[in-house]
Amino acid sequence: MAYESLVRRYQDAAVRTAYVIAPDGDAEDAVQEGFVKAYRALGRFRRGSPFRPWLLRIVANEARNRRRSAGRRAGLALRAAEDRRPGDAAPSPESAVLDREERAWLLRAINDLADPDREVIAARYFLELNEAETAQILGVPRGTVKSRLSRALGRLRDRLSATNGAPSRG
Amino acid sequence: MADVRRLAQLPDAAFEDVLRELGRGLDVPSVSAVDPALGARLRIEAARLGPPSPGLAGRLGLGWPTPARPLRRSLVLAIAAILVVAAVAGAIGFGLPGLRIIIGPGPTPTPIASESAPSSASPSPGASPTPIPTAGPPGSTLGLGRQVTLAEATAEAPFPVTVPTDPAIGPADTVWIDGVGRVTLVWAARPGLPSTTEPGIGLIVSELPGSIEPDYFQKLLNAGTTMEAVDVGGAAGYWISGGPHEFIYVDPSGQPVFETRRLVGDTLAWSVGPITYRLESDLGRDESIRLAETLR
Repeated sequence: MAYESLVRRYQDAAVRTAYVIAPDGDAEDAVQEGFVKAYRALGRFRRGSPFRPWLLRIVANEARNRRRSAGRRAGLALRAAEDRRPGDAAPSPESAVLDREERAWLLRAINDLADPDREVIAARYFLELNEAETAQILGVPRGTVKSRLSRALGRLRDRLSATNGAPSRG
Repeated sequence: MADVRRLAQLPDAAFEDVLRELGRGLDVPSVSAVDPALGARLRIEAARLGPPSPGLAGRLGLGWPTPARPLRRSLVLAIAAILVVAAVAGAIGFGLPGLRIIIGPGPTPTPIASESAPSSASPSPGASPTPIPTAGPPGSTLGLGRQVTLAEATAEAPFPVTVPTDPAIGPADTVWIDGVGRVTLVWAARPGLPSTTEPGIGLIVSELPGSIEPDYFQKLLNAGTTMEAVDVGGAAGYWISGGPHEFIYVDPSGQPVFETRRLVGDTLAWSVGPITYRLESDLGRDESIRLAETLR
């Protein structure tokens, strides 16, 4: 069926979205439910608007509902994939390249942020959505994305500044 | 040991780059596990939302996906899938080159002007409905691409453009070509060529290159729409009638576009070799077929 070609086209993005919103086990379920709900809602799709953010908002909502309904600690528990550059020298102070330890620290700091902060960071940088798409997927006004992101980045920097000691190497 | 505090001191742009890089290195689950059970659920949804189309099952290559995940729900779905297998036949695409037709849930055939009503699944509360232009040459409001002459369309299209040769119809009032080489001929309504669901438009003939990928141009049919296999001068075709339906196609950048400045009324779709044709009119099935057979 034709809709399944849309599923195939967007399932990567949908899984990624669900995962960064609720990475603790229900992302796949959220994606399935999201696609089914989007299918039912096709008649309400605003014609001429982009399909991707519309779909991803539904998936994000499903993921969020699972996180809440499970009553879990809202920790992202995002994991880094295997380090792609083993043996790298420690980055220079101004480098935007992360070494393994830094990645672990940074993930931990993001995981410790409150839900809204994590979500906006995840949408902008992990899903690499623009501001308008982020607003659509998170269901907030664009101005809110801007201010929330600014505060979230500030809090993330604060946590990193306050860091001392070694991260786990897991 | 790296000094992670350095990250806190990075300039904004570099800090953002760091976060993007972190995102690219995330351990996102593989998507391959998602598809099979989902495919089954979608078929069930399609069966629930769209009525079956009797008699089509035999023409369909029904590739039923086996839910691969050892989950109880998947098992339940698999059983449900078996139960609805007959009913779901109409939900499976069957197509002509460049055109796939499915029975789907169908969009609510509301006029564009009423679409500003907010909806929980319509996350664009700020957007306003596209105004419908009322002036302009026939077809100018339909999003058919660029207006050209027939000679230009013939030169630009990646296939031989054909036109109805019935003298009663005459040459098209306007000719359009879009970015993917779809050519559309439009005739204004007039005596003998009654208005279609598009006010003022009497006949629309679209020609699609078959080189368009199979999913390129898709069609959602409303519940209540019927399809009938027909013969158009020896070519396989479908007569789609009884309710408005809409198109989905994928634009050259890969984005699916819900082509819907309008819903489409009675349509004859058929293919000759690698080209698919679509004829919309209010002439009825037999007259549409007769007219289609005059294309040269």
